Amino acid sequence: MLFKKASLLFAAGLMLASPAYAGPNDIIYASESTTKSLDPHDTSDTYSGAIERAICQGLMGFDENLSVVPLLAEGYTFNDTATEFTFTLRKGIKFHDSTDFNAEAVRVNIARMMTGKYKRSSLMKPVKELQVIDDYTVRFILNEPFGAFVNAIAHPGSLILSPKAIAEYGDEVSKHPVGTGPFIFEEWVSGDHVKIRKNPDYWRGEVKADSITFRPVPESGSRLAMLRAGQAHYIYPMPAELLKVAESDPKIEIISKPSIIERYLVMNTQYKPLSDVRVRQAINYALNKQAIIRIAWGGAATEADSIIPENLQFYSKQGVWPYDLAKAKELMKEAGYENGFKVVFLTPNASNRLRATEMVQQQLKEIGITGDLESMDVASFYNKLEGHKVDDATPVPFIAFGGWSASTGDADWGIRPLLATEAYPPSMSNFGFFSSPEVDELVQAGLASADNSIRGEAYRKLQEKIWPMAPWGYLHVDTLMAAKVKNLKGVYPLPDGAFSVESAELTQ
Amino acid sequence: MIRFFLKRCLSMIPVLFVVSILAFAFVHLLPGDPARMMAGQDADPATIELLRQQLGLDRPLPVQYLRYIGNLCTGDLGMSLRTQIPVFDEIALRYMPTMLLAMTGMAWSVIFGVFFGAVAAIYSGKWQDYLAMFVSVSGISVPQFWLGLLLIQLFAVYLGWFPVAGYTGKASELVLPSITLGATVAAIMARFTLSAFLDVLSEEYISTARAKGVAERLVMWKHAFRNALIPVVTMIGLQFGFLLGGSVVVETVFAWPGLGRYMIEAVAVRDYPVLQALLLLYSFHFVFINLLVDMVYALINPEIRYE
Amino acid sequence: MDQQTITPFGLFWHKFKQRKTALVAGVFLVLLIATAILAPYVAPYDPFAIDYNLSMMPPSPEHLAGTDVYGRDILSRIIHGSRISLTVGFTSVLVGAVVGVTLGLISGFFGGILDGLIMRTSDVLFAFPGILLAIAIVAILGPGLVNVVVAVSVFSMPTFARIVRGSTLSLKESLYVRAAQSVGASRRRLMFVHILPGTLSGVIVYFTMRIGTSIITAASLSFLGLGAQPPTPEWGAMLAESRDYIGVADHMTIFPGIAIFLTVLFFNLFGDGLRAALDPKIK
Repeated sequence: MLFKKASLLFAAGLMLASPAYAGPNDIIYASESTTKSLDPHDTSDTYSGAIERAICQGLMGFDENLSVVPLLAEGYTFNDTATEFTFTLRKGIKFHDSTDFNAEAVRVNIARMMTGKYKRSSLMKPVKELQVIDDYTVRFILNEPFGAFVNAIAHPGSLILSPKAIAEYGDEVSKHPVGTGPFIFEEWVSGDHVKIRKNPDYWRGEVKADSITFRPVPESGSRLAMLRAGQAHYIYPMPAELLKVAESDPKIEIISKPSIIERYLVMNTQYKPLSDVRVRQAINYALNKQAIIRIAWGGAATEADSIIPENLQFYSKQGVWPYDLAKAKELMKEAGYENGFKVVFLTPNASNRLRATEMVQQQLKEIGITGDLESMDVASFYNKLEGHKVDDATPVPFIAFGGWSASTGDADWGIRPLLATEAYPPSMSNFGFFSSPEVDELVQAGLASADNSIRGEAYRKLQEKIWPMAPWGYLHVDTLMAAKVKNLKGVYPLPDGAFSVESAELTQ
Repeated sequence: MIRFFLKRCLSMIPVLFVVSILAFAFVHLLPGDPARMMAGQDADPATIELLRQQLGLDRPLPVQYLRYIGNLCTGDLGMSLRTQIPVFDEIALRYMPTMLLAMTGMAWSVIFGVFFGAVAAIYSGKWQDYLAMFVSVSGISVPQFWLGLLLIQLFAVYLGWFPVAGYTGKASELVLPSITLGATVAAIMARFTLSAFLDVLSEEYISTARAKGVAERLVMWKHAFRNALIPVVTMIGLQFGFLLGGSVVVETVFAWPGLGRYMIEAVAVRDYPVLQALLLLYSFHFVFINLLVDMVYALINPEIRYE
Repeated sequence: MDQQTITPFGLFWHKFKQRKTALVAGVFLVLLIATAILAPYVAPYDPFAIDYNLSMMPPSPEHLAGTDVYGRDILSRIIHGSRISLTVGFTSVLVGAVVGVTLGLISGFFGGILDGLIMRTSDVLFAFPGILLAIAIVAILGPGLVNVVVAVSVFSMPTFARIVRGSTLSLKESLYVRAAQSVGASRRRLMFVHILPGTLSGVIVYFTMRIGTSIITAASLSFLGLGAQPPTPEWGAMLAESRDYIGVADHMTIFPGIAIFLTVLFFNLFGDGLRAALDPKIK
C-alpha cells in the first residue's frame, strides 16, 4: 500500500516531522473537486479535464499562458476563409498500450466525437468531414468559417485516446483512459481518488514523479490543514482567506497566477430601470472593486479592465472602471432614480461569491439600490436565472453574481455566449438579455477568419464598443492560488483553473 | 421468533414503498436541471439537450417514475448521471467507509455515554454527577462542523497526533471524525443510561442484594449495569439513523469518502438516480436496524411478547 | 416528605431546585431571553453597520468580541442574533409540537386505521435521518429562515406524536379517564381536558431539549449553505461564514460558537432539570 509506513510514523507521533511519508516521488494532490469522468470527449469539468491532460494529449495544447501550441501535431495550415485546417502529425509516438499514434488514431477519435453522443461533441460541430491525407496528415473541412477552430482542437475535450482502448472498452473507456501523455492511468476509485503513474517511455523525455494521487478535499480549511500536516503535497485551490496562515508556515510555498475567470454582475438589461445605460454605469461607479477583492476574495483577484480577462486571446485593455460615488449619484439622478429602486440580489452560495454579493448589496445601498439577497446552490441559481424570460410580463429586476471561464482560451467563447443576442437563454448564457446589433456584427466578424490580425482587430473594436455600454457590473479577474510543500517542483495551475503536472517532482 | 422476524420484515415493505415515492418526488421537486449541471458551466444548448435525452429527462414524469419503480423491482438502481457508473457500484464503494465511521462513532458514544451516565447515576447529586452530565451534554451543544474543524486544528495541525482528513484505510484516520460524530449521540446515551440506572437502582432486587451484604461494586456492575443496558440497546437502534444522517456534515469536513458526502455532491449536481437510491438506502437502514434492535431486545429480555 | 406543602407546583419546584445546574441554566436562559428582547438597547453598535477599514479586528475595548470580515461588531451581531436563533429554535419546535401532539393524541385516542396511518407516516418521516429531511425540504423550498423553521418542525413532529401517543394509550385506560367517560364526557373533552394534561410533562421536557437541537440543525443548514440569508445575524450563519477564517481570525468563529454552545447547553441542562422534576421515575 501507498501508506504502509504511515501507521508506524503515526505511532511515533512523527507526522509533522516527516511530511513525505508516501514514497519518495509519490505526489498527493488535494483538490476541492471530485473526478467525474476520465473520458476526455465526455468531460465537462475543468478538474477531470486536467487529470485527463496528464494521461492524454491533443494535436494542439495550451502552454502555461493558455496560448495554443503544437503537441501531437507538428503544426497546421489553414485557408483564407477559415474552412480548412490541415495538421501534420508527429511521428514515432506510441500510446501507453503500444498502439501507434497516427492519422488513423486521430480519425477514430474525431469520428467518435462527431457521433454527437458526448459532452464535448460540440467542439466538432463545425466539422463537415475529416480527411486522412496520409499516415501523418489530416485535414478538417468545416461547414462554415470558424476562426477559433484551432482552440477547439487544443481544448482538453479534443484529447486523443488510443484507438485500441476505444475499440476495447467502448464508453467504458472513461474508466480506462489510454493516451500518449506523461502519466499512465492506474486506478480511479469514484468519490475517493485517481492515481496515475509514470510513463517510462514518454516521448518528450523522462518523467520524474513516480505517481500522482488526486484526492478530493471539499472543505477548504481541511485542505490547507492537510498540506500543513504533510498529508498532501499540493492543494488547489489554496483558500485565499487563509493566506496568512499558509505564509507563516515555513514548509509551504504559495503559487499565484492570473486566471481567465472573469467575475461580473449580470443585470436584466431589457427592463427598467436596468435598461437605462446611465443606471448601469452608475452601478459600475458605485462598486468598490478594490474592497470586494480585498475582503470577499482574500485579495486573490485583479480589477476587471475589459469584458474578457487579460489571458484570453485578443484581449484589449479598456482601463479599470473608477470607483466614484459622486458620479454614480449624479448619473442616478440624471436617469430619474435619485431615490433608488429595489432589486433582487442573486448568488451561488459558495462563500467567496456570497461575500462578494453581500458587499455589492452593501455598496449599492449607497446609491439607493436596495433589496434582498438570495443565495442558493449552483443548480438552483441557474434554474432561477433561466426562469427569467426576455418577454416576462412582470419582470423582476435582478443583479446576479456571474462568472465565466472560456475553456477554449479564445475571445469568441468569452464573449459570444454571454453578450450576443443569439445567446439568450435557454440557448446560451446571456442571462441579462443584453442585445446590440453592432456587438452582434463584430462577434460574427471575429469568427469569419482564422487570420489572427483580422480577428484581433474585430475583437479590439468589440471590446471598445461594449465596455461603456456597461452590460455588466464589472468586478474582477480571479487570481488562481495554489499551495505546495517547498520540495515539490513542476506543478502549477493553468489560467483556466486546470493544472500541469508533466514536470512534477519531489526533490529531497 | 422467526415468524415474528418475518412479520416485521413484511411490515417494512409499505414504509419503503412510500419512501420510494417520496424519494422520487423529492428529487424531481428540486429546482434545477441535471442536464445543465452535467453539461458544465460553459456548455452549449445542443449538449444540454443531448444529455437530457440520454438521461431520459425529456420523458413525461409518470413514464420516468414507472421506469424507476420497474428497475427498482428488479434491483436495478440505474446509472449515476454524473459519472455514468452504476449507482449500485458507486454506493458499494462508499458504503464501508460510512458504516465504519458510523459504527466507530456509535462505539465512542456508547463507551462515553454509558460511562458518564453511570457515573451520574451512581454519584447522583454529587459533583461527579454534574461534571459527567456537563461533559456529555456539551457534546450535543456544539454544531458538528465546528467541533470537527476545531478538532482538526488542535489534534491534526498543532499537535500532529492524527491525520487531518481523508480515508486511506488507516485506523488513525478514523479517530477525529468518529469522535465528532459520536459526541452528539454520547449525550443522548448518557441521559438514557442515567435514567435507566436510576430506575434499576430503585428496584427491589438491588436493595435485596445490598441487604444480603453483596459488595457495592458487585451490586453496581452485576445487577444494576446489566439491566440498565436494555434501554441503551434500544437507543443504539434509534440513534443509528441519526448517526448516518450526521455523517453528511462530518464527511464533508473530514473529506471522508462515504455516503454522506456523496449525498451532498449528488444534491449539488441533481444526480437523480443517486439521490433516490441514497434516500431509500438510508431509510432501509433505519427501519432494518430498528427491527434488529427489537430482536436483540427480545433476546436480552425473554419476557417481551411478540405481538 | 412534608405532606402539607405538596401542591403540584411546590413539588415540581422542590425537585427542580435540587438540580443546581438546571437552576443556573434557568437563570441564564432568562437573561438570554431578556437580552434578545432588549437587543437594540443592549447592543453597543448597529449589527449591520459596515466599515471595511475595521475588517477582522481582534477583540478590543471598543469591540469586545472583535469585528467580522466587513468590520461589523460581532458582539452586537450575536446580541441581535439571539433574537433570530431563539425564534427559529422556539417556533420550529412549537410548530412541530402542536402538530405532533395533536396527531399523537388522535392516534392514541382513536386507534385503528387512523392510528395506523399516522404512525406509518411518522415511521416514514423517522426513516429519513433528520438532517437529510431538513436538507431535502430546504433544497426544495429554497433557503431562508422561514423554510428552515418548516424543515426543522417537520422532523420534530414524529417524536412528539410518539411521546403523546404512548402516554395517551396508557391514560386512556386509567381510572379517572374511564370515570369521566362513564359520566358522559364528550370525546373532545376527554382528549383535551382529561388526557392531554397528563401527557404534557413528557412533551415539556422534550420541548426544551429540542430547542437546542433545532438551533444546532439551523446552524448545520447554514454550514451547508441552506440557512439564513445575509446579512441576517443568525448564529449558525455567522459561524458558517467565519469558518473560512479559522486560524486567521479565530475570534470570528469562537464567539458565535460559544453563544450557540452555551445556549444549547443550558437548554439541555434546563431540560434535564425539568425531567428530574417532572418524571415520576427519577427521584
